[in-house]
Amino acid sequence: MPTEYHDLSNWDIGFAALLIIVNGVISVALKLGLEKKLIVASIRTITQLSLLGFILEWIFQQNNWFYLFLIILFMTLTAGYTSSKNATRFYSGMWINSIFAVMVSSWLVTSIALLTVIRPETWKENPAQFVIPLLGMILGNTLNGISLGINYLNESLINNRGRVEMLLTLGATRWEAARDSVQSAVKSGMIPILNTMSVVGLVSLPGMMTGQILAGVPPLSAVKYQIVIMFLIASGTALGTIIAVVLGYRKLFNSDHQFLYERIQKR
Amino acid sequence: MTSPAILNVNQLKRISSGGDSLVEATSLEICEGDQIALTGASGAGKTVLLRALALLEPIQDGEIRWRGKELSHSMIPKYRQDVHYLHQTPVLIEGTVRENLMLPFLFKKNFVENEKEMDEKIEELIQLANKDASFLDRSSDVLSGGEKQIVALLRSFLVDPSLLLLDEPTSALDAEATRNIESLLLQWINQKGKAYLWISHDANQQERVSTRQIIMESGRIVTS
Repeated sequence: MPTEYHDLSNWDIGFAALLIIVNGVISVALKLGLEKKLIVASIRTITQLSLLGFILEWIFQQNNWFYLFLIILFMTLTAGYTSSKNATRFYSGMWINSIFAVMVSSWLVTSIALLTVIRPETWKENPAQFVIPLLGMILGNTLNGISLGINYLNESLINNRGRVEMLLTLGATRWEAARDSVQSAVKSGMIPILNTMSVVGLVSLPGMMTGQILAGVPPLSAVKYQIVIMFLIASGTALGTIIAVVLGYRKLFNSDHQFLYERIQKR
Repeated sequence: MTSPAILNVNQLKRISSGGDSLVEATSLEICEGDQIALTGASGAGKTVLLRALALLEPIQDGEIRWRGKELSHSMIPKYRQDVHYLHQTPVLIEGTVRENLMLPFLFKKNFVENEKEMDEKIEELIQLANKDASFLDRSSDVLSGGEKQIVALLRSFLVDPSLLLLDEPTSALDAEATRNIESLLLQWINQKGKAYLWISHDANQQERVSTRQIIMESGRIVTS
């Protein structure tokens, strides 16, 4: 039988923090110069996660649809903005496209999961407890897919501008000229999740499943949840990446079958 | 009697995304069989004009009529085959010469139904370029600059344009390769009665290849 859920004390966290101090000592000894970054990163981890803990406790207690909506909107906007922020090349309006892609894909997939897989009778008492973690996991992965996809699209089109224009001069439509770049961009967005799905359980134990097992949930139940989550993440990532890449293609090619390369700028 | 017009360009204007005027109020008529050299100093707008005529660049004002017709969105791929722009540096795909020549026929609109007829056309063009059949199986990455330009030209010939927009096709080539390209172009053009607008900085080349010259200065045509 699995053991009961064991609540961690502040001392337990303190012991874990000691390990980071060991890292700091190594950094000083080897002159890696990482000790400051380690301290800042550790403080950020404690602060951000504690803050999240307080907010989640509060949201769960309130059990109010409006507050729930506000927090998932905040999560979605942050994910959408982050997915376009680090691209080396951008076009104006790219962040709006990213937010739209993140929102449509993750909200749709989460809704399908809540309505069909998990069923309303499970979560109707306290929707926040299901919506926030589910959406969070899907958003985190979708934003990576979108980020890789739009970055690849812009880079590929600019680096292959001669080829794209050559195809257009030979009578290709805008889709025929852009197809290779669009397809490769979607593939590049999907690679991380496909890799994760291929080795899950062999190389890595996913965080959610680990958390559930540590909390005393029987492994087979945790596995079932994890399988569902992997499928949700994969479909959210695919959908979000396709939307973001297609919106980018529509922005960079007009109905006159012209490649508007001037719209792509280097950051 | 004058030949029918392929292109009528009226007050064409192209402004860059930064707001610079690249081609201004340019009007031009090009008829079947016209052999025109386009010349002018660097930065005069020659390449931009050619790219604008090929509709590779958006134009901000003016009108291009193709065989008397206004262009609609759906006509543009077909238009680009008839009024065909050839890049200064040849762009080939990875693969054999034959795969490069067949590239335009992978597009939905140009699917080839009669493969035998296509093979005959390719055979004819290979002979025109003084190459033998084994040239078709060579990989594009082992070709010299001149040979790459020959492949790009033959591929252009296969889409059967009425008007070729040639952006200094020999500028990066040595004297011998230049002569080969010139001779190949002129043979095909004279055989088929095609028209071209050829950017060239070389006065001797302009003499050799054109019957009419257009000079551009600061984005405008000053002599036509």
